[in-house]
Order: sequence, then C-alpha cells, then structure tokens
Amino acid sequence: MANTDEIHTISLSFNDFPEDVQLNILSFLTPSDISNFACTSKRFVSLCRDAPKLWFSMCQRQFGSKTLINKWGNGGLSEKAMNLDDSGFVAENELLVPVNVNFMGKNHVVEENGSAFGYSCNVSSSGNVTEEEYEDLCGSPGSLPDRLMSEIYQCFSNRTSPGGNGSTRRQRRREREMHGRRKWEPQDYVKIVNCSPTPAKPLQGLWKFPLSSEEESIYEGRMHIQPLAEADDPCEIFPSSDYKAVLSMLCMNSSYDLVIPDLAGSTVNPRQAEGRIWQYENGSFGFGFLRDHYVIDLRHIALNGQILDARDLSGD
Amino acid sequence: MASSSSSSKTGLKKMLTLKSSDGDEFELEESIVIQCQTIKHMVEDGFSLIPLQNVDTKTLTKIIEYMKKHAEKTESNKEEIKNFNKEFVKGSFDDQFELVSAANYLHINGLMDLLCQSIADRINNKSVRAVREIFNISNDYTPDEEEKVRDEHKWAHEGGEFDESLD
Repeated sequence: MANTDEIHTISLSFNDFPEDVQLNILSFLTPSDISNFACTSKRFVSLCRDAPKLWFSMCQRQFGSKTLINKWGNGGLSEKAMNLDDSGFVAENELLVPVNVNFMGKNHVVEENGSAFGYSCNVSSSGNVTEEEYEDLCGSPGSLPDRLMSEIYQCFSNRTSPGGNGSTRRQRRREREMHGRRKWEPQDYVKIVNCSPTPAKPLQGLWKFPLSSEEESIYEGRMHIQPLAEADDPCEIFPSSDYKAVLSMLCMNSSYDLVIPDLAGSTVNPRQAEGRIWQYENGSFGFGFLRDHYVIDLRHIALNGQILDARDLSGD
Repeated sequence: MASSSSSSKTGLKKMLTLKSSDGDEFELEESIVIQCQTIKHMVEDGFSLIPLQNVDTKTLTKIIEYMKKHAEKTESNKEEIKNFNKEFVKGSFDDQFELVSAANYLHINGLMDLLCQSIADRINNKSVRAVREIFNISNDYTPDEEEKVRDEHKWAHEGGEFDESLD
C-alpha cells in the first residue's frame, strides 16, 4: 500500500527479523526450499544447518496431524520422520539428526544416521547405492519409490530397537565397510511385494520389522512341524530347506483357536500360542505358531505368496 | 459490529485503550484485544491503557483490523475470513515486515502463522538469486564459496527448475 514512501534509502531485509521469526517462517517451507534458501548467504546456511528446532517445527507442520512429534526421542522407542524425497531426520534425545536413506532395491530401504552436511542428506549422494547398482536392483531404472509410498513412509515410520538382522547382514557389511563407525545400527524397512499400502491403509504392505537374531535362531533352531493332512503338499514356492531366505518377521499375539476356527475346542493343547509371520526373501509369506520346542509351520497354507486378505467389515 | 461478543452480563463491554508508538490511541473491546497474548497478560495484571512502543500507528491499524475481523469468526463465515486473510497479507515485503514484527511482539499466534506462511510462499520454489532479491539478502559468498555451497545443496534442485521471477 504505502510503497511510495518506502522506496528511499533503507530497505528491510530478511536478516532484520529476529532469529525465532526467521525460523518460524522457514518452518513453513519444504526441505528443498529450506536448502535453497540456505544458499543465499553464509548467515542462513548456518542458521538452517544448526537449528534442530527448525526441523522440528517443519516436521510438526508437515506431519503434525499424523504423529506425536513431541514424543519423538523419548524413552526407548524413538520415532522418526523420514522424507524419502528430499532428506531425512531422526529425533534422538529431543534433537533431530540427519539420516541417510538408502534404497537397497525396490522393496528394501535402509536408513542410517550421518551425513556430511547437516540436514542435506539425500538418496543419491549417500554413496551406498550407486546409480548403476540401484538400477540393477530396481529393475525399473530411475524410478524411486513413488510419491504415495514416500508419504506413507513419512507418516508412520518408527524405529524398533537396534538388533542383528540376519538376512541383510551382507548388505550391512557392505555399508560398514564404506561408512566405518556409526552411532546406531541402520534401520531396515521392507515393503511386501504386490501388497501396496494405500492412504486408507498405510500399514498394508509395509513392514519395518527386521528379523532379530533371536527370532532367527527360533526360526532356524526349532523343528518345523506341519499339519499331517497337508504334509504331502509339495511346497514348491518355499523349499523347506531354505530357512535362511526369511527376510523379516511380524509377531502376533494371537491364539491358536482364534486363528483357526475349525480347530477350536478340538485341539489337544488349546493354550495360547505365540504367532509369527515370516516374510521370505522372494516377497512371499509363511506363518506359524511357536511351541516350546518346535514351530507349527503353516506356510504351505499361504496361497500365491499371500496369507492375508483384506476383509470389508462394513458389509457385515 | 457490536454483535461480536455476548459474554458481558451487564451489557457494558470492558474497553481497553491501545496506544501506538506515534501516540495515537485506539479504544477496543477487551474480547477483541485478548487475541493478543501480550496484551491479555497485561489485562490480567490490571492494565487498561496499554502503550505499545514497538508498534506504529499504521501497523497497529492493520493489526486491529485483523483482530476485529477474527473476533467475528464463527462456523458460518469461514470463507469470508479466508478471503480477508488473503487480502490482508498482500503488500510489499516491507509492509509485511512491520506486521510480522508487531505480531511477534504482541504474540498473536494466528496472525503470526498467517504472515509466516505468506512469506514462506514467496520463497517457495524461487531461485537463490530471486530470494536474495526479494528479501534483500546480500550475497556474502565468494564465487568459489558459492559454488561449493550450491554443490552441497544441489540435491534440493534435482526436482526441477526454480522460479527466477521476483513476485
């Protein structure tokens, strides 16, 4: 409005805002815009780099409705937000620290901490997966996980406690060689083949439970028993000798009776049983129940690599 | 205008006086003014004449305009408020600067968010050069340094071209 009398001498600059106002404004930007803004001057590159608060408020604005950002970094469970498109952040001890997000092929994402440049961590410069290697693994050159996928990752991703991961050990070792020491173990996120999440069902098809060494020993160490009626069924999809192909597992606290209604009341041992779902490296599933010394393995019941099917409960 | 508050049982609305740094006084209903946290605290401490030494008349007029409008906010006039907000944030960076400083000082959260969002919108997708131009940021890099810093941040540019325009 009063432009006319303002043209003279001093013009106000973004620098003249108090720092908290600057940060407030920047928190409305996307990571790539913040990064771009940082390039404008030395002052702002350090402002953007050294202000965890900025990333907190930015995450709050972007994902605040989807997660409890104020709880990040509390207690044993550290939740985090990842932005697979641009950069990554992890809340640890109330501070956001940068992470690298690496695509280990189409269905496997590894996230680890550390980046040379504060917040400016990204997929292509992480160095863990070179361009050719990535395209190799991916099969569809140049296509990073689509927009929807990354949104879903952002919205719910959180971290399980660091633990060994048998099936990705090989990949880990390779990373270790390249990165040396790190503050925490990388996190693995595995997507289930042909079972994609949707905005309505963000958890569908996306697992973040790497196989722990404990689980690995349960799976490999115990005898696998299959119900007799099905025993002659040749498990073509899952050669029974290849236990090492298990990629991840999901724990179920379900009862044997509940899961298999036909067996209700007729089972010899109707106690509660701990359930497991295993995902094999080819993307298909198996599931079963743990007993004291053996595993009731029902994986051959899985059809076409799927054991779960969506049910529309609204129709009932 | 007077319909904005029915809270007063006596029918007499408690009035407060805001005084700008230029010495102009504005009399307003308390119910309107308490959107502003700084003033709310002063009212709670018993003040009824509130001197605002950091806010000039021109800016205070705008701020009062905002507070009056937002005091009328109901379920039914959301669209109207939205349009008001849109108009309100128009203006040069210098105009916005004064408003942001005042809103920050007065702790009017809604206004602060509105203004910051609006300024952020101006940064959004602009090239480094355009951002410098719009916000009067002087480039203190040597060409070498600038190349280095741009290289560190080049991931941000992989998504496509940035807008060079200045509006």
